Amino acid sequence: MHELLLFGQVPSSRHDQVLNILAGVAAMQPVQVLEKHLVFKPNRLPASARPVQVGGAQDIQKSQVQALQAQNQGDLFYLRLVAEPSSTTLKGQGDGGLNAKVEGSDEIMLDVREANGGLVGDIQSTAPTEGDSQTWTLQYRDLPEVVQPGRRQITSRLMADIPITSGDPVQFMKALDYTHTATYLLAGHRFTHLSASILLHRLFLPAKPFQEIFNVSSKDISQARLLDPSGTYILQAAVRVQDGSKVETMTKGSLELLSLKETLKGVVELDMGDRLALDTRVR
Amino acid sequence: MAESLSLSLQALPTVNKDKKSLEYLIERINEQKGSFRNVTEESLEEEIQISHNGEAETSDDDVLETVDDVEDLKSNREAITTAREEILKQVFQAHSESAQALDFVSLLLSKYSPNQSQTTLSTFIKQNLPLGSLGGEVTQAPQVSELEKQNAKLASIGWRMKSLNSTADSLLKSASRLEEEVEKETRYWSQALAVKEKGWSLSRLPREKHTLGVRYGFAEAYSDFRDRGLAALRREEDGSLSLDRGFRSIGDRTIRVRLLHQGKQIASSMTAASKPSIADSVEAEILNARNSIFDEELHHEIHREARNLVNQGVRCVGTSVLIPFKSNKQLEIDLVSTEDISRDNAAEDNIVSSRMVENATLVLRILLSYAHRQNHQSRSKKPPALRESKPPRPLYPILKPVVEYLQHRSQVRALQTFLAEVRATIGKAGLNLTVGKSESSYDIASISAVATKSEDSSKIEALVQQLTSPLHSTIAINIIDGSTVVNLDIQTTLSLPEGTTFNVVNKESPLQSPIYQLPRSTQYTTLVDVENCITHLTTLSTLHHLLSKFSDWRTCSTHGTSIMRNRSGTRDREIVSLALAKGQLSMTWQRSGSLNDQGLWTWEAEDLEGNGETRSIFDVLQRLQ
Repeated sequence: MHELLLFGQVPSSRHDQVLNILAGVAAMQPVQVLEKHLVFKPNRLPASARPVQVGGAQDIQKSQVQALQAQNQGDLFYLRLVAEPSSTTLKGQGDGGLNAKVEGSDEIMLDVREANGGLVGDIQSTAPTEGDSQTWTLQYRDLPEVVQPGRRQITSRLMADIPITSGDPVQFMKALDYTHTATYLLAGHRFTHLSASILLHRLFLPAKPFQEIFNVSSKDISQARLLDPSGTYILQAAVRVQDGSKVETMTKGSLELLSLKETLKGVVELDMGDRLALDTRVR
Repeated sequence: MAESLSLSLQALPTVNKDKKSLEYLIERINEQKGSFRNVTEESLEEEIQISHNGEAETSDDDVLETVDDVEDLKSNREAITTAREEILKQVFQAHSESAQALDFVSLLLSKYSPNQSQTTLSTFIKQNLPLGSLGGEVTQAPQVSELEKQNAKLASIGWRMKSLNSTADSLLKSASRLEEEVEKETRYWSQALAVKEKGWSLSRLPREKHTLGVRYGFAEAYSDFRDRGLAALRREEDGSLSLDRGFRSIGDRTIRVRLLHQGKQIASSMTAASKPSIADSVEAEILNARNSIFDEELHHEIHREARNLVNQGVRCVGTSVLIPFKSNKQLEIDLVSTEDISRDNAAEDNIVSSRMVENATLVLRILLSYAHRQNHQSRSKKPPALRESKPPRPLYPILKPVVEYLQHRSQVRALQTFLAEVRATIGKAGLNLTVGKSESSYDIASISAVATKSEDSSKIEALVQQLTSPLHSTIAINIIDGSTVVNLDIQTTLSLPEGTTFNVVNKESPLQSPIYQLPRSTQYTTLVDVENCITHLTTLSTLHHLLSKFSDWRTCSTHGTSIMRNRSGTRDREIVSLALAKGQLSMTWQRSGSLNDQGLWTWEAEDLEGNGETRSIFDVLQRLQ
């Protein structure tokens, strides 16, 4: 699957106004979005573990082995686990967050999990329990394609979203030999305009280590620290294309995105993202 | 020293031979020194001296001075050139003027002394004009009297007055015109404001930027209908607001549901009472336009769906859709123009409405609104990835619930009639069977129960979901004094498994009864099957009941419909068989060994001829002792 993207910036003072305009453009009410993102880094194979190539160009190898070797020597990419609470949980936890406040203390707030089973602090047991109504997705994003000058100014990249239906996603990532490196929260609103998904959001850094905020709730946001202290919102307009090799659909998607850019001219200037800033390769 | 080395790649200057000529040199000296008058021997020597001393001595000031000099020189030269050009222009002008004057005089004189004047005439005139073609004469100015002068003055004053008056008039006229215009504009805008205050959304027309439009269409409708839901608000001659729905509008239309019996109309949803109001104001017109576009879309969607429901007996004939309803009856849905309706209604006043057709119309409209709501929900979800082929537009379930309901109701009614008949029949024989009230999922009670359970936002959706989900009805039957309780569960759906299914559940039966040994739950798909089943169950429990009353009888076979007894002391065997069919319960009695010893008693639900048995089955059996 391919993803076509345009980005824009909205200062926090204009947030409400832009939200209103977007609701008008998309002819729908904004949908609240709250996601927790866990970033995982692959552990590089030690040099000794790599198969040593001998015989230079005259070495005849099976294609499978060649493919494996190419994989070993190729780029490694960060992966992302995204947790999204179901809408009912979001509402319920919002209320619960207020009730569960302990002794007015600033940093301690009872997690729903904590209240239910007291599993906090156990790093290993991050498996979703029965009470968890959040969906996990494993996300892969490629390095955006190089845009030739004169072509459409749109970020285009290969992507894959794999929904995780059962099991412990964190354990799974460990088993894949990935290390957890960062956690952030994404909060904002989503709109749908034709086949484009518009996301007006901000990123937060959690106040607590990630294991303790296994469940995402709005109270986490109230504690979290803004990644960008100015409070600027990011507007991301994305069109997903099933098959990136089909020129026609890619053109259709990018034209739609560009027409959205034209519609929002004067409201938010949408532009393509910086290719290297969106680099997901491990250095 | 590589960096200090700079090479010039210019071509070597070629020495032009002409440049050594005296003429060129004089010009150069003029360029360089300004004039020969400034060049003296001393000045030249001084210059040579300076150049010998080296360029190092030339100070910055000198350079600046020379630059200034050069600039002075340049501007001087430019001034001179422009002045020269100016002089030349004047001279040419003078020349041409004088030449023209000369030509004129020469041509005038050419009449009297052609030879002489020919010498001064220009060649152009000579070639193109004949000589002496211009003449001169002395004239005298006419004598104008004082009176005439006075008259002319008065006339001029009169003209001026007249034109001033007309100017004043036209100004007044435009003032009054402006006043009228203001009045019209005020009327237009106040009416537009009234429309706005009614809650209609006003906007600029996308094609005509200077026209106000009103949006009355439905945002979630199919694009054809959605785009048509916009009309221009134009200003009439008198300033009143008028709705312009464009060329595609064909007047207001509305959905009409009629009940037909063998092609003849019995009831119609369009009666004189329900006649749509005639639009007397713009707001009413907008409202009618909205109703019309909604009904047009509804008709379109119904037609689309009807083609998929042909297997259910739904037919599309021309623009109308026919749904089978009971025997010989049909529901006809069509789209009619409101004008036709009022004309038709005037012609025949005897059109009656019935709750049936009114409810059908209402349900169709509710279901389209619900489909719109669903569209909005799916549109607000995360969009799917773009593919090459667009997913086809799904059919809205609008006719389906109606057809389902009609089928379900007719099945339930048929079953209820049958049960009533059975009850009446065996009641005649002194047995009783109670049929409970049917409880349906579409009953007001069950729907409101669902609605109160769900949250506020989804209350309406829960209501409609009850309509669109498979229909359920349950009937409880109590056979013979509550010894056997059977639950009938009737479910109708047009999605797979299609049709009506009857689920017969034996809730309660005596342990010794043969019914107890039957499967507790059985499923049937036709009414005949379930009728047979109930007949069988009733017969079995009747026999069981008889056995419990008369202890000398016993069953012939477990699930048979006859009982027998051996006469004490003899080898004779008596057999009694029961048969329940078509509103008639018949009992036959036969004694083996003797052909004459047999009897037949029948109990009929509707004993018209009076030949049915009047005693109860117990009395009859008692007599056999």
